[in-house]
Amino acid sequence: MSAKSQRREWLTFLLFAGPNLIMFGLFTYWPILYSAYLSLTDWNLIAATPVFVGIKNYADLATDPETWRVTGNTIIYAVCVVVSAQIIAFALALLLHRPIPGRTLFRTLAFTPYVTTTAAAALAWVLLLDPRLGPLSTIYGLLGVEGPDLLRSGTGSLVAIIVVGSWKEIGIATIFFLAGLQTIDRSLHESASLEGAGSWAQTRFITIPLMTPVIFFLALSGFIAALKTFESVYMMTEGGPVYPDSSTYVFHLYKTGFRDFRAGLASALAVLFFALTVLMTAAQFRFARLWVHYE
Amino acid sequence: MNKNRRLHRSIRTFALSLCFVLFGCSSPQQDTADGRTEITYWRTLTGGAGDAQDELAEQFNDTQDVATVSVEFQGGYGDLAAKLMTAAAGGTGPDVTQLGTFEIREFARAGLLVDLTDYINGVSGIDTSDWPGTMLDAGRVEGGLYWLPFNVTVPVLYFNADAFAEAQIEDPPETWDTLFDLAESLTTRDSNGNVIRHGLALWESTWPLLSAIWSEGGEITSPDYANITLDHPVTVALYSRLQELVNSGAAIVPAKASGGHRAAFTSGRAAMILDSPAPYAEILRQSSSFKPKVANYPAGSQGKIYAPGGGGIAMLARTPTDQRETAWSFIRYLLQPEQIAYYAKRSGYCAFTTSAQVVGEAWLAEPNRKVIHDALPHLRGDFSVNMSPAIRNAFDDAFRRILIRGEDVVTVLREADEIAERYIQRELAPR
Repeated sequence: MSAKSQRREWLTFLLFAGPNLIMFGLFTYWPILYSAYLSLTDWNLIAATPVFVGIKNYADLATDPETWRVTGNTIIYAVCVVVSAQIIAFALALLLHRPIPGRTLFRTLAFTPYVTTTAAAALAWVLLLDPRLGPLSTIYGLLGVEGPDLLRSGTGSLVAIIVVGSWKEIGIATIFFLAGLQTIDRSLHESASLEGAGSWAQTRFITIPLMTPVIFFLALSGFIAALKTFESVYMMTEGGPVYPDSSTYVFHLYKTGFRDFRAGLASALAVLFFALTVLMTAAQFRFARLWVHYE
Repeated sequence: MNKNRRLHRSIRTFALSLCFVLFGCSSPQQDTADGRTEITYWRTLTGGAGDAQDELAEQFNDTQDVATVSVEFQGGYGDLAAKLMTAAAGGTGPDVTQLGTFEIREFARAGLLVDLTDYINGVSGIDTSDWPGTMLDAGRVEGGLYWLPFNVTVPVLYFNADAFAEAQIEDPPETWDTLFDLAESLTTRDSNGNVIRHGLALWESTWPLLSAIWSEGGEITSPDYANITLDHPVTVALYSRLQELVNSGAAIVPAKASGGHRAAFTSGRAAMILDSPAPYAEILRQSSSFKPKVANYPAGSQGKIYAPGGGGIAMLARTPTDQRETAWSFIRYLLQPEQIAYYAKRSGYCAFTTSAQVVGEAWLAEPNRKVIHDALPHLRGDFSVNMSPAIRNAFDDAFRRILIRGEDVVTVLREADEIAERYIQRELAPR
C-alpha cells in the first residue's frame, strides 16, 4: 500500500471514528478521569477549587457503616431482582411459547413493564402497596385486618423496591427467553419424547441447558443494571423510612454529592462502584464456565 | 480523482458542521432579537405557587421594554439547589433564582450569590420599612445580604370541622397539650379496633415541631451554632408524647410517596395536620367529603412562637455586571406590594408586608386567609436549623428513628446532638 493511500485510509478512519472518539473522550473518559481526581479531594461542588486530601475519602468510606449498608442493600437487591425476574420470565416464556389463544396479546402485555417509565411505575406501585389507599386496602378491609405498610418498615421498603425492580425486568427477560426457545431444534424434543421423556424431564435436560447462554447474558446485563438502580429508590422511599434502610449504592452516591454537598466523597464512591461492577462482572464470567453450555 | 474530491468535500462538510455545533455551544446569547436583555429565572413550586411566578414574569415583560425574563421550572427545592450547584460548577445557570432557606449560607459563603445590599439601599432600592425585620435578616450572611424573602409562609393547622363537630369539640386547640389530647379524642376505630381516622397526621418534616419546641421554651441551636441542644428536655417531652400518640394510633406519619400527611387529611383519614398555607388552595379543593378549616398553631408556655418557612429570591454571581441592574429590576418588581399581594392571593403564601396586606385587603378579609395572616406577628425569623445541614440532618434522622422506627427518645436525641456537634465544626470551618 502506497504512503498516499495509507494516509487516505487514516483520514477516512478519522473522519468516521473521530466524532465518536471526541464524544467518548469528552463525555465518558474525561469525566471518569476527573472523577478519579475528585475522589482525592474535599469539594462541595461550589468552592472555587477542590482541596487535595489524598486517600482520606476512601478511608472515611471504609469506616462509615452507611457505605457497607448501602453496598449490602445493593447486592441483595441485584441478586433478588435477577433471580426472581429470571424464574418468572422463564416460566412465562415457556407458557407463551405454546400455541395458546391470544398469545401475541399476552406477549405484548408481558413486555409492557419494560417500556413503562420507572418513575411512573414506581408511583403506581406506591399506591398499590399502600395499605390504606390501594386495591390491597379493600382486601385487608374484607379480612378485617390492618395491612402491613411496607414503605414504613426497614425491610419492607427494600422488599418493595425489589418487587418493582423484578416486575420491570420480567418483560425484557421474557422476550429474550422466547427468542432463545425458538432457536432450540424441535427434533431434540421429539426424540426425547419418543424415548419416553416427560415435559419436566425435557425442560430439565434439554431446554434449560440449551438456554444457559441466554440465562447468562440476562444475569450479567440484569445484574449490572440492578447495581445502578436509582429511580425507584428516589421515587418510592428516598432511602428510608430511616436512611439508609432501602438506599442503594447509586442513590447514596447522589445523596452524598448533591444533598450533602460532598463531591469528593461522592467521587470516591463512584470510583469504588466502578471497581465493584468490574469485579462482579469478572466473577460472573469466571463462574459461567462451570454452567453455561454453548452448542 | 473524483473519489478524492468527494472525500475532501465530506471533510469540509464535517468541519463546518463541527464549527456550527461548537459555536452553538458557546456562551448564551443575552440579548433577544428585539434588543431586550434576556434574564433567566429559575423557579420551584407547582400549582398556583408556580403558575403565579410565570404570570408575574409575563406581567414584568409587558410593563417595560428593557428586559425579557424567561422562567424555567427546575423541580423541588432540593432539585433546584442541586441544579444550581452543577450549573455553577459548569459556569452556567440563571441570573435570578428562587431559593429555599437551606442553601443561603452555603451558597453565599461559596461566592455563588450576589450581595444585594447596595441594590436594596440604592436609588432603585426597595422600601423594606414595613417588612418583618426578622425575615430580612434570614438573607444576611457574614455582613452581606444575599437573599430576599418572597414566598413567605407561616405554620397553619388544618382541621376537619365535621370531625370536630362529631366529637363535640367547638374550637381548635389553644395549647399544644390540648392538641395532643384532641388527637386521641378525634381518633375513630372500627369494630375490630382498627383505626378508621387518626386524630393527627404528622408531616415527615421537623419544621412544624420547631414551633412547638420554641413556644414551650426549648431550643435546637443558638443562631451562631455555639450551643446545640437537640436533646433539650422540651424536645424530649415533645417527642415522647408524639411517640405515645403514634404507638396508640392517634397519630400517624404517612409515607411521602403516597401523598403524605396532606393526602391523609384530604381523604378524611386524619382529622388534623400541622402544615403551612402553601397547599391551602389544593387542600380546600381536595377535601370534598368534609368541611376543612384552618387555625393558628397552638401556644406553648412561652406564648405563640412560630418557625418561618418558604423561600426567597437571589441573584447569581455569574450574572454579567452590566446585566445585574436589569436582573435587580425584576427582583424589585417581584417584591413590590402589588406583586407580593398578587402572589399571595394566587398561591396561598403570605402577603408578608403591611403594604401588601393593604393592597390585598378585600380578599384578606376571608376568614381562613385572615387566620393565616394573624400568625405573621408571631414569626421568629430564625432559620439557623434550616441553614445547617449538620443540624437539619441530625434533627430529621431523629424524627424518623423515633416516630417511624419507634426507638428510645432520649438515646436517639442524645446521639443526634453528638452527631450535629461533630459535623457543625466542618461546616463552620473557614473557606
